[in-house]
Amino acid sequence: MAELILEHIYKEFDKNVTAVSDFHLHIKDEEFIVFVGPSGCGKSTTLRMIAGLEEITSGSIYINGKRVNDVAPKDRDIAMVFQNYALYPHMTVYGNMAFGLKNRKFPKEEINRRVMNAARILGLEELLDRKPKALSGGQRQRVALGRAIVRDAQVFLMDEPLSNLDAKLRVQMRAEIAMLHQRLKTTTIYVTHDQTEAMTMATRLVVMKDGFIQQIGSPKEVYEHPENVFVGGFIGSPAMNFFEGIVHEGSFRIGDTRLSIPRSQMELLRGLGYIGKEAIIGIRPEHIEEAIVGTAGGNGSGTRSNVSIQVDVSELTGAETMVYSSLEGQKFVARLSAETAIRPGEHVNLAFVMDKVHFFDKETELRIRPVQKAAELVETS
Amino acid sequence: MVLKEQEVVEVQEKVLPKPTKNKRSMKRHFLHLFLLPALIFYVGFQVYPILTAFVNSFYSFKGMVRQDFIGLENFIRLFTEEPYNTIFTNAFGHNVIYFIGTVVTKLVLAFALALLINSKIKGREFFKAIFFMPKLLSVIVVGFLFSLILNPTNGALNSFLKMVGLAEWAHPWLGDPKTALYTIILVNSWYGIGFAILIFLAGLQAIPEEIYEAAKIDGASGLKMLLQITIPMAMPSIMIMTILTFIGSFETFELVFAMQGSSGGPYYSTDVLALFFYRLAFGSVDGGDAIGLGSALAVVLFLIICTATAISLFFFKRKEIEQ
Repeated sequence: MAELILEHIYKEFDKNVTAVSDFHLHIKDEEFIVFVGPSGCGKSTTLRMIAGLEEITSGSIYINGKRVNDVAPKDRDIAMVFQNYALYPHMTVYGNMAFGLKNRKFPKEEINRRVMNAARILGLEELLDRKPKALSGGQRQRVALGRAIVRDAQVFLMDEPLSNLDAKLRVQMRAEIAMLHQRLKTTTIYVTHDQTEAMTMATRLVVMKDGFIQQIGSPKEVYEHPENVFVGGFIGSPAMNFFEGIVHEGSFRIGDTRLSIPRSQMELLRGLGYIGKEAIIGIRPEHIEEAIVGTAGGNGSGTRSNVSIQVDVSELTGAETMVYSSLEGQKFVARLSAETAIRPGEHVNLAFVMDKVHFFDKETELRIRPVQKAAELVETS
Repeated sequence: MVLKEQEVVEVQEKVLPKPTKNKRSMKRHFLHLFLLPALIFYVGFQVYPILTAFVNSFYSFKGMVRQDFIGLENFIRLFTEEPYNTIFTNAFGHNVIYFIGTVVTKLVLAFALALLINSKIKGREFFKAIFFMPKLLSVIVVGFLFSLILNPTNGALNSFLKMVGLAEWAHPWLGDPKTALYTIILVNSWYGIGFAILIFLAGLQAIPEEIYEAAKIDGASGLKMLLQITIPMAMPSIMIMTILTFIGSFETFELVFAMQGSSGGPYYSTDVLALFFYRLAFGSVDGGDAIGLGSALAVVLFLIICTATAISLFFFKRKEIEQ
């Protein structure tokens, strides 16, 4: 079991291409950390630096207090699962799992015990004599996991391990990996570009973009309090809706549409001098509801603002209906119940749940937060 | 009887073949026509001579004229009658040495060089081109060039050795029966190493980087990585090169002929089966029966190559399926 500290890590490739900038993170024992972000955001590079497959340009990596910058991958006591499984095609399933232990000169009985144990956990007992070619994608992925498990390593590193599987298998393996983590409690760092995977598996998420950490937090924190427009838009499916407009006393105006701002938010915006200034609001699709006729707001409590729109597309996904439309030329999607009678082309009233709206600065695209709180955040990081 | 429109269509469908299908199959037959010239050449210049050699090996000859069917007589003579049996054994032995020598000097070295070139060294394209260059020359030219280089009195090699103070190393490389065959093997390796490097490089480049990374994390040392990852995974290219080298070694003719003449001198020390065949069939070793005997030898040579290739392909295929 292990604790990892990544201290101001930078990675520069040739010609001054910076892949990772000032990556700073303290990973606690038994955590399941997910690095998530679009391709090219530096998440895999960071993982590979932890593995020792990529040199660190500057900064330090500590595993259990020991600085490992110059330690060879095999001596870092880590196990890695690769995107394309990276199984040895000429070895059997047993051989694949035993290879790392043989290299470390484990006694034969111990190797056998560990491989059999891992095979039992992963349901691979019947396949031990097969070569990887004779396995399905899911089985191969299990062997790759098995290869990591037998090592009993301090840290598991997983680089997009499910991206080659079909959708159904991916969901199944996702659950299996989560269960495996609950059982083994090995500190795990998992890289993915799939925000659903990230949300469902992580104890803590690290959202990255262009080599910079955008936000670190539990899935719930990141979902409910995105630090910036990018995080808001990246985490959650369908993505958060954004509208540009101007902050007025008591309302946010998008063209001719006025949305009322809840009192607490208003105080903050006023205090920070946003009145009369441009800003961006973000609202999740589930916070846009069907307006109930004859009421000022929607059908629940709290501040709601009704808007009149024309429906472009409505998609029934089964349990819910996604309604696509635009407000003052800015596109958005609302997640309504499956029973809704709204049809494409109709003019309808929708209610924005304004208590759930996030305000972002237009220039920096950062969440507008109390100055004091922002200062606290800087201190604690 | 008047048929309704629907019925007409049905009858048409039953009686006439579907036009689209017909058209397609005609097109396919038409395409086959394009293969015909190549097929005629192949049958005329490959299949027919092989079959003729097979037939001829069972006949006696007078000059170029086929005489009587004599069963296995030619084969029996080849293996039991002096001097044929001695020459055959001697030449066969040289072919075996030629094969082993080429595997050691060409394949092992080519694999090592391919590993080096594959390790992302600078100028890899340059090295690839340099090593491949000799292959662009004709074998006869290579043979002639090396005859000059290796000339004992004024050849470049001995002159060089004398110049750098290693005069005692100077040697009649092609004139000494002890060194002649090995010298030819080395020349052949120099000539063919570029091709082997290319094949090995293709094999090495097909190994995904991730496998090496996984092995690194699994704690494999450099040597272990080579023995347990690289070589097993490059096995298809190693097998192909070994088979090609085997075929090449047993067919070898031009280089020895160009450097040492048709008798594989000095004193038959570089004689190989193909040269022996040449002398039997077109030379003057045993006037009358030469074509029959030569054909018998050609058939034996053919069978050796076929059997060895089939066996290695069998193991190779089995390995491939296992992977």
